Amino acid sequence: MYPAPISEYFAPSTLEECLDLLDQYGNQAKILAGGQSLIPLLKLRMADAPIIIDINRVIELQEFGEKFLESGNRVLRIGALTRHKTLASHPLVLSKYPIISDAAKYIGDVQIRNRGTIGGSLVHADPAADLPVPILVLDSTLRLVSKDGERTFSADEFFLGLMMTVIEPNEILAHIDIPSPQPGTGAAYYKYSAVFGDFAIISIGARITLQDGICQSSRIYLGGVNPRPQRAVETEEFLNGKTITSEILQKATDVMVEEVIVESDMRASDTFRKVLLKQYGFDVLSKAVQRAKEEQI
Amino acid sequence: MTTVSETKWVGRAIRRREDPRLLAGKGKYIGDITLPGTTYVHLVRSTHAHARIRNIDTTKAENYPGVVAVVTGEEVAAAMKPMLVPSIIPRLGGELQIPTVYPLAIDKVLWVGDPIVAIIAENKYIAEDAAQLVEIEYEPLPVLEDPEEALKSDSPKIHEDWKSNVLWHGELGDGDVEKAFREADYILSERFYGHRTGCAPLETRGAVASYDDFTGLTLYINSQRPHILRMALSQILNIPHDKVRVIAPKDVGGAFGTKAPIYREDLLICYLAMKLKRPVKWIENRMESLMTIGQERDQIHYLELAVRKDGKILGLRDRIIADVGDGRTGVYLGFVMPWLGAAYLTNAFDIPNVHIDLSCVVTNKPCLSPSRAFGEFPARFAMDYALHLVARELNLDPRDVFEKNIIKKFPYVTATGITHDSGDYVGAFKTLLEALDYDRVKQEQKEARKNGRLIGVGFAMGAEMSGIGSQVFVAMENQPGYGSATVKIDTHGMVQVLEGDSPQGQGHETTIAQAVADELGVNIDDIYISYGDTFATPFASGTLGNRGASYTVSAAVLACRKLKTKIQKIAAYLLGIESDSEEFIFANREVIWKKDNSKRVSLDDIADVAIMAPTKLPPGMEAGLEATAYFEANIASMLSIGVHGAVVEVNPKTGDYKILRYVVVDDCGVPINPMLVRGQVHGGVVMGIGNTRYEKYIYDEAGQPLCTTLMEYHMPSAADVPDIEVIEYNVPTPYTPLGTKGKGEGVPGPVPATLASAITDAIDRPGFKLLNLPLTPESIWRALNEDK
Repeated sequence: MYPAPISEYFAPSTLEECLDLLDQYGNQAKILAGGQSLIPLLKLRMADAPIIIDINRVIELQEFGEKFLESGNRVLRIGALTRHKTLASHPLVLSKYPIISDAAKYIGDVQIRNRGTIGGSLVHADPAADLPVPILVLDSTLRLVSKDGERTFSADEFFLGLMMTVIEPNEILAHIDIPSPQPGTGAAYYKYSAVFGDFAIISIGARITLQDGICQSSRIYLGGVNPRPQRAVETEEFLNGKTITSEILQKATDVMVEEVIVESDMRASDTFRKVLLKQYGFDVLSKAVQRAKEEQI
Repeated sequence: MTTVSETKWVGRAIRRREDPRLLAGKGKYIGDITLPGTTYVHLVRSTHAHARIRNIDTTKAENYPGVVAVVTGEEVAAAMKPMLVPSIIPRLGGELQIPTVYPLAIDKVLWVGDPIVAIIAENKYIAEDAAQLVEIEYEPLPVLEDPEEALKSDSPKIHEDWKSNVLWHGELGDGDVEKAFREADYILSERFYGHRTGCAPLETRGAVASYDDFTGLTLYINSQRPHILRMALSQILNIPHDKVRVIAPKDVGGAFGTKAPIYREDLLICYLAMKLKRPVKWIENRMESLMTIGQERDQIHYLELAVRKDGKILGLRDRIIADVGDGRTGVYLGFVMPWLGAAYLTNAFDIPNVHIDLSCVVTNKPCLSPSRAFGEFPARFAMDYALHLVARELNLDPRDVFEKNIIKKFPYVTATGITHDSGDYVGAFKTLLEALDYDRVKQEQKEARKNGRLIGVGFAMGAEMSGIGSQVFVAMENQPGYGSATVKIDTHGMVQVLEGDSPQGQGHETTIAQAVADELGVNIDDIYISYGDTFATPFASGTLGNRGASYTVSAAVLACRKLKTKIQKIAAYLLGIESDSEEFIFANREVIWKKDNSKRVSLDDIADVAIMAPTKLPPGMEAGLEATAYFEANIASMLSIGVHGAVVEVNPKTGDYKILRYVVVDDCGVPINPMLVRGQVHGGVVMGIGNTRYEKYIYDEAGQPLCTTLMEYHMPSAADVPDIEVIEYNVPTPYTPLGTKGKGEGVPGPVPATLASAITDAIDRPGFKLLNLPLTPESIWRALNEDK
């Protein structure tokens, strides 16, 4: 379990240098951020990277905080190099976007959370990873940059399939912008895994906006179920416009279990995944509603 | 003047003397050993579970810069005898078919991971690069994954010269089983399955070998049994015994049984060092480790119990089918574990009439390697859970069924020939029920049920081997059972203990020192322990099967006692006392006359006389202060009891369960260091929970292993396990000098039946039973929905 030969290692300190290198080496290069996916893949020789570009010194990728866009909208900007630890425990996350902390705090173990980055996790696009689901649920936008310019995608456009995204070989994910929540919005995430901190057997993320007890809008994604986190569109439609009660959430859970396409693997069968979604779907929806009532997201 | 006080070290929970160096990162493991000019080995392993090798092309690998040599099977085989020489073949009667084993596959591979080509290079990166350039043409053969399939007469033969796929078949038992079943009021008959799981030590296997024509072969290896390995290497490689030195490193990062067999790689690394005349280093990577070692359990039990209506078990029949993998490791051949599972099947119960038919079947998987609770894990599950099923079927309280059947008189010999030396099993069992507050839990269970909560309580016993005496061990593994130790007092009055075993985390530097400190009246800081080097230590079978506290510590104590006789003679002579030699107390580094405490000599002065100034010794006395002892208990085997109990809550919608309490009542005779005993129990229970719920070596139909990283082989972390309560219930054994017995090896054994019975009690539905491990939430959910 030693990697194949690595001919060059670069550690640029600016985004510009980084983009030059990506432009020069393209497919030959792999970006090293926290290394929590790349290093194991290299050691297993499942990834081959003659050129390593270590971005840990690139300051432009380390933004974290609220920001006003030109449009006047306020967002939480999360630089691609933001560590899971920050997402799990930052006061801004805990107070306004606790769904991100719900997800980040059970990624792997302390060492992994100290090293691992959101950018690394999102571009790796493991369907059972923790961060894609809340990022999707929060209608985030992802900014990709390259020598050719910038491209912006909604999270839903960004993920294509099993470990596949829209990102081009000469591009890098710079940051994620999460829009400020509407008043009366709450969101929650739950993961069921075989052992603590493991990848999801199923994960559920939900966001609900309430006004006078009525669901104004909702967004639900399910992770670990098939090659890409799946949006539960019918469940959203079922919820929108309804007065939220326990029974409605129970029924919404049934709709969700019905519409999701699940696959079997070594960790669980498709049937059992549905059992888990039914068990925990209601809890996640309830928690999102509760947070909405507390005007949290 | 110091007063006479005997500081007792035995029984104190002192911190481990090993830990400071380990915590400071200064441990010396096999990976830390590199000799000048070392080369590195990477093995090309089979990607097929069963195939003929049509061609191997190593040209590109040989030409890769930095490659020292590329070696294939025939070359290695030509240089040695087939690996399974008689001294490492068990002699357990029955019918045994012995495979012909060489380090590398020659024309056929038998499992995914079977080593085929060795690449030796200037560094480990180059070795792995070159390994990717080796081209092997395979002709796939039918893959046998299911031992019951492999048993069928029309199945293809894995070892083509055998008459069947049965490596070993035999019968165990005694008594009139037919009569017991004729007289039974009720017969329980079930198929129990314990899946392939075991352990994954943090430190994988590893070896560094060097050779020159003058000193011969030196092999550093993290083996549990360096002396046995040395003996086998000399025989297989045809090297005189004085030219083979095996050294186990000071620190070994866990073994749990996996480093006890003699593996094909051990021979290969030695051969390569001899061929190249350069040091050769091989460290198994995690993937190889998960593909090769730590795979155990894997038994099917067709168990029948003949039961009287009051719950007394009159007789037992069991047909066991064990999947032993390819059967190609030395000492165990994969079948000693299931044999032990059969021999210890009746556990802590008095069942006079037993018949067990055991078939150990080869399949296209790696050979079973010993794993803590060694063969017993699935057997304990079948036996103890069956008792709970009996209780449910006959509407009896399971505690009465257990109590009625627990062994009460000692020594007790089971129908399978296992000797239980001493103890109070019923007392330990009752202590567990008290600690669980059994009646109250049953009451709370009713209350909780009204609120829709399913609480259950379960328990199981584990009579674990505590070393095995030569009477049994010679037959079982062709090795002596005694413990051995040499105790030397040096020129500075410090005490060196050389033991024949070779620990892997058990804490011998602490526990042996505690026992020796008491014997010689010294501080443990005056004692240093040496082990692992076969050129320095007395012969012994190794650190395994709970031998340490029963046999090895006892040998050290006996060696001290031999020395004490001599020391007292010297003391009497120096003090000018006419004394019978047993009249002295050893305390505070002094030898003190009991009759007059003012008459005393320091140990340093005695050492000085005995070693540096022998002219002052009593006339005619031999110089020096050292003694070697071999301890053999005056009984065939000793066992130590552990009783486990759990309270669980089950979610019937998902089958998920939470362990609310886990309690162990534990007897190790006399705990030398209670903290270490607790550590053993905690670790054992965690391993048991891991094996019961989380860990499984999974293979697909083509024999491909699906759990080759720790992302798939799920070991629990601290966050996954409950608080473990340990209650000591110690009954000193009369068969060791200090009353001590070993503890730790068998601790995982009672876990699956404990959890299965607790879950079944929580569900409490007629016909609901859990007959297959692992007990995952999904498997419980399925059991719940199948019987609806």
